[in-house]
Amino acid sequence: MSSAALDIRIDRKAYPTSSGGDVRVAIKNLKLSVSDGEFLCIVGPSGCGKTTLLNIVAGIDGDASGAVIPKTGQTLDSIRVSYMFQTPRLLPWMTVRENVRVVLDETTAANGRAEQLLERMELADSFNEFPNRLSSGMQRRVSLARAFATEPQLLLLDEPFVSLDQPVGNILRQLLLELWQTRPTTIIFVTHDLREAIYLSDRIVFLSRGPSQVILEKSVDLARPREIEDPAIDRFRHKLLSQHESLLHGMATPQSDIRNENDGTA
Amino acid sequence: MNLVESVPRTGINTAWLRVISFILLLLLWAISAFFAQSRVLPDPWAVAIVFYDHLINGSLLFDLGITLCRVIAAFVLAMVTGTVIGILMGLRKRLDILLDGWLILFLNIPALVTIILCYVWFGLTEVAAITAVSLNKIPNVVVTLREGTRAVDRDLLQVAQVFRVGHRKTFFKFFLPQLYPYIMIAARSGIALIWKIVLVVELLGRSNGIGFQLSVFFQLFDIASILAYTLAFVIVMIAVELAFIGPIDRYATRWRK
Repeated sequence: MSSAALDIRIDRKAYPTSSGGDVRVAIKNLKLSVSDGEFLCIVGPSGCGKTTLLNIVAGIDGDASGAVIPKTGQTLDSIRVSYMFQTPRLLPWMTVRENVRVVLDETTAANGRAEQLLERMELADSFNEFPNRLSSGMQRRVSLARAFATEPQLLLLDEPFVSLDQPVGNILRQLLLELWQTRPTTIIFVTHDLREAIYLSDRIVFLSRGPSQVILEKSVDLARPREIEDPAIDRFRHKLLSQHESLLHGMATPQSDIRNENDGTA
Repeated sequence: MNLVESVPRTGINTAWLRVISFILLLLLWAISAFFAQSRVLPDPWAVAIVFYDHLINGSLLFDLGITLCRVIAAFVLAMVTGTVIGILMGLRKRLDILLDGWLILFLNIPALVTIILCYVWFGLTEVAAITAVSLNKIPNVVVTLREGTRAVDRDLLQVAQVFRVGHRKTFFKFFLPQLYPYIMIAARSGIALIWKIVLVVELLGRSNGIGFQLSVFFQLFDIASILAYTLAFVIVMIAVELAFIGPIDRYATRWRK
């Protein structure tokens, strides 16, 4: 089994507010499924609970009610999960090479997979550098190499390229696609950038403002490989936004507006 | 005031300044001794002669060795115990509240009281001596390591959790390295505190070591020997700092810019 398929159902996830007493509901009645080897993007306004959703799937947020169930009859614990966080989260006291090797077991590390991936990322000259001395683009590459090093069945990415400038970000987006095509894995990619989502994904799921729910699912039927500057991406985006004016503000069709408002007052 | 510009650049000039400062101190001492002309303040030259005599004909090296062994034993015991308790208190809120009162109590018991009580309860033994010294240092280590544990970056621990690297690796590769700066602080101040207390312990209840010899010289009013022994020990402790603690610290923090 090279990749994973999941049914995600989150009934409720709430955070205590800093003022005490009351709670803020981040996610409510969210249902989502992702199929084997799919590149799924999740788009929603900032603060709508996208990161929380990924954390729940990754198993580092145990405080939500609901379930994440693999379709293939495996348990969630037996699936190899990788996570590329919003910041690179590299260990500053380890060299680039050690940072990738540390997530591998001894036999895999001995096979040289860390070195292979780092060379692929054009980091061959930086094996023994410490992360502090690298540019933020290079740090993302190390983080991406680490995420792929474990040959994940499920890869979660949380706006990983958001703070990079356009050219550097585009190179990394391309690298991500290349890696995904040579080493198939199921990807859940969170972003608030619709163009990025159209360029990368097979399917986009739009979330509402918190408490977040799925308001729209849209397949991206553009042929691969895609070009970042391809006008087809812009046409796709335009069409989508003309159908659903406030989609990026967490609102879709008129019906879901009403549904949304009802939940908003709850 | 500009802080960035105020931080000095290191160079040859600072090394010379240190040498000059040391010579100045010797000079001050020599001048004072010359004007005092007293048995209780021998000049540097007299102390050097006595030092040489103790080194060749006396038991200076033996006493130095014994004291150093006690320092190392007490240091290791205090660091290990203090680190373990400190980490646990940093991680477990309930344990922290439970032990916090004890910690404040132990921090405020004078060294002399711990030493006397240890000797009274456990006899004039080696174990009692080393325990007494450790007990004086442990609360400090606990406080420092508890602070370090509270400051640990949870984001990095989440990485370990997501990639399922296991408990052992999480502790040694993701958690403990974050505590190194705190361990170094505890170690640095620990060595300085421990060797001073070891001398008191030796003075009160051992029949060898630097501290015991100092009490003998005190009774004989042999100030030159007291200064010679002090000098020997200070040299050894500076050597320990230069040879071990400094290099370890530089290695552990080499990744900083």
